Parts: sequence; structure tokens; C-alpha cells
Amino acid sequence: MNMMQHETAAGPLTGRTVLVVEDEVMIAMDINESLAEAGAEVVYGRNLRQGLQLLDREIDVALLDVSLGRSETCLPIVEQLRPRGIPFVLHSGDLQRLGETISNIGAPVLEKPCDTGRILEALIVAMAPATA
Amino acid sequence: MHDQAYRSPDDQTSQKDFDEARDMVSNMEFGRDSGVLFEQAISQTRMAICLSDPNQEDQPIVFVNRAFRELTGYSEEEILGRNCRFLQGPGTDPVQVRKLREAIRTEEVVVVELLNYRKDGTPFWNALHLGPIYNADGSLRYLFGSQWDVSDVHAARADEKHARMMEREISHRMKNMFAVISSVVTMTGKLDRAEGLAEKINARIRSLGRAHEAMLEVSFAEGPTDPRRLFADLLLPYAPQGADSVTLDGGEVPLDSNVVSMLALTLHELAINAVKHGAFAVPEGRVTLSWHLEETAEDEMLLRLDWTETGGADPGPGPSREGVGMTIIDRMLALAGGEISYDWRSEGLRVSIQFPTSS
Repeated sequence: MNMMQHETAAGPLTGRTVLVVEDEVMIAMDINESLAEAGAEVVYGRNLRQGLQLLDREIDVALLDVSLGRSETCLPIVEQLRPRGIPFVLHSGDLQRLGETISNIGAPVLEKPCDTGRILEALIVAMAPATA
Repeated sequence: MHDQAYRSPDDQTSQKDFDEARDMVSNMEFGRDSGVLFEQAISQTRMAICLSDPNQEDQPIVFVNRAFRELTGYSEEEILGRNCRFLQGPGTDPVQVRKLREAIRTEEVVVVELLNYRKDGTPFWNALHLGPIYNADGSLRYLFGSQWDVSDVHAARADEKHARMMEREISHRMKNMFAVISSVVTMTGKLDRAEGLAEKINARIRSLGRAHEAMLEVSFAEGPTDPRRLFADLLLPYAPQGADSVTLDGGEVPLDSNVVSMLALTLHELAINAVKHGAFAVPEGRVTLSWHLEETAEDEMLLRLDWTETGGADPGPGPSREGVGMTIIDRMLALAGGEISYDWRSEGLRVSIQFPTSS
């Protein structure tokens, strides 16, 4: 497991903890650094097992890659975030094959490839009702 | 003759079945006591069998067994006396029929696959094995035919063909996609006067493209894979004497797509570094890449790679400040739960890399 320790900057996500679960490490690197630059504390899991382990942390919002390699999806994480009222955004490059899974989850979806600016916005919007 | 379901008209078992059945019929005296046992054996086998009389007008069928009647849906009365072409229909390939006719004319054994039709009109793929049976005096006595329904084999072949077609299509699209990305980077670099930067980005994109291209044909197969082709595709473009400059040593490893990306970017940086400062900078330089799997305490599989350069320039004490490429792979591997270490020896750089291969 890898928790990115970035210098936390002042930004739109200052004081927030974001869970990122993503199995493509290059993509995770890009996202995690952008979130850190926006002030977030990022907790990162590169597979389902790690993602589940990180759920004992205080999390404000999550960005979940839907397909986590082999036949695993982020569904078990979703099932634990829901009752805790933690908002999340789905991130998927496979809307065609996973369309049904995704629409059943019923959460905001970002289609890969997606620039980090839009990811940031989506996470802020997802948290908005909670802060209002 | 044994009773196993038939799978392919080409396999040895079927040839043996056919030969045994034909020998048996050859020894058979229909209607005589000595032939009763043979006749029973032929009647009971699951191989559909028919005999035609080549000495009568239009070579009518004179005997069929139960399996033949079950396969075609016709009763004995509907079959006997007819030429076996009555099973053919609009989808039957005339080329195969000609092949069959030619074999009958030359009295040779032949195997053809014909689309035939049952009494109810449903088509089936019939692997027809046909051969002559002779009298003791050498004159032609019967045409012996065995039929097997190979429709499932045909369906499997069609699936396989479709899968291969899809692979080619995906491969084609992927190549195109990487080419388009590459062009976008080059154009942007030109217009923004950052051609050098664009070329560095493109070199990495090309490596990624090569790696995923190499993995396409195995990506449909599950389980561990020989990564040799992947490593060769990544390293040989930079090797001064191609395959002679590179030694690859290791077994099969599980290669998920994210692992392929990590390997591509890592080996690309090491190769580029070797071209600039190491073994690939001189014609006689060599790189040995060896790899193996290690199991960790947490039940994870670690892929460990050892990169050894020899015969190249003295790399010196190593860069005082890491380049962009090295920084990318250091961070990427750290994030993946892996690590990389460099040993800048005077005889050549040694690098050891490890990271988990499966989630």
C-alpha cells in the first residue's frame, strides 16, 4: 500500500482527504499529484484489497476506477462508502462493457481519458451537497 | 472399433475407426451366419455408416446402420436405393462434392466436410470418410462411408476465426491510436517550439505502443506469459547490434496491462540511458536482462528484474541529479509498491527492479 505524502498546498481541496483507487499506476500518479497540488491529502490503493483497507481512514470523497484488473470492480468499496455517506466519483475507460455495472451504481462517471482539471471539479461537486 | 465421440476428421483415432470398420465390412457376408457378429457390431457403433454399390446404376446405398438413420432422421426404407447425394442441399460446397466424386472415380480414400441436411431440413456439418472395399479378386465391391456430425467443431472454428479477426482489428486500431497521439505531440511541439520535448514524449509513447502491441496476441490468454517478445520489442530498437547485444533470461510471468505499461516505461528509460551513457553507446556493449518471480510474505507475487550492462562506457558515478525519465519511473514504481536501485559500476550500470505483478 502506498500513501502518497505530498506537500499539501493551499487549494480547493485543502483539508480534504481523497481516496483514489486506480490500477494503472501512471494514471494514478498523474491524478494523485494534481489532487495534492489542489491541497488534498491523497490516500491511494492500486487494487481492490488496498482500497478496502484504506476505508478505515477519514475520507471526504473518493475517486474509483471501476475495473480493477482481472475480474474485480470497485463495487465492494462502493458498498462500504454508501452507508457512511461518503460521496464518490467513478472513473472508467470501459463504459461499453461496464455500462450496466456503472448505471446500477448510480454515481457521477468520468470517462477515461479525462483531464485532471475535470476530475478535480467532479470531486468538488460530489462533495458540495454535504458542505451546503 | 471403439465408441468415442468423434472430434476431428483428421485425427488418428478416426482414421483407425474408419479402417477397422471398413475391414470389418470387408469381411462381412450379409445374411450369412459368419457375418452376423460383424453386422451386429456395425449396427451398434455410434459411427454412422453407409455402404453404396458402385456396380449399380447411380451407386445406390445398400446398407446403413442405426447411427446413420439417427444422424439423418430418415428411415431405412427412405434411404436404401438412393444415391447419398440426397443429403446435400443449397449450402453444400460443390468443390467438396467434386473432390468426393473424383475420389470415387479413382478408388481412393477421401475425407471431406460437407454441409448436409436432415430429413427435417436442419443442416449439419458432416465429416464424410469414404473408401473402396474390394472383393477377393480385386474388383470393387462397395463404397464404404462413415459420417460424423462435426457441427460443434465448425462452430468452434468459426468462434476462433472471429476472435482472430477481432484481435487484428484491435491491433490495427491501437496502432492507429498511438500514431495519432504521436502526431498530435509532434505538431504541438513544433508549433510551441518544443520539438525536443515532443520527441522525448514520443519516444515514451512509442515504447508503450510497442509493448502493448507485443502483448496483444497473448492478452486473450489467461495466466503467465513468456515476456521475451515484449522485452525484445522494447530493447532491440536501441541495441547497436540488435539481438546480439541483448541477453534475455527468465521464465513466464503474469502480465496484466498495468504491468506491461510499467515494464515498457521502465525498460525504455534504461535503454535510452544505455544509448546515451552505457552499453548501447558502443557496438560491443551488451545488456543482460534476467527476471524471476518471488513470493512475498503477504502472498503477493513480486516480479524481479536485473539489468546488467557490460562492455560499454564507464557510466561514472551516476547522474548527480536524476533525469526526467528516471524520476518518472522511480515515482511510478514507488506508487506501485515496487522499488528500483542503481549500482553505477565502472564495468557497467546494474539496476535491480521489483514490483508486485498481480493485485
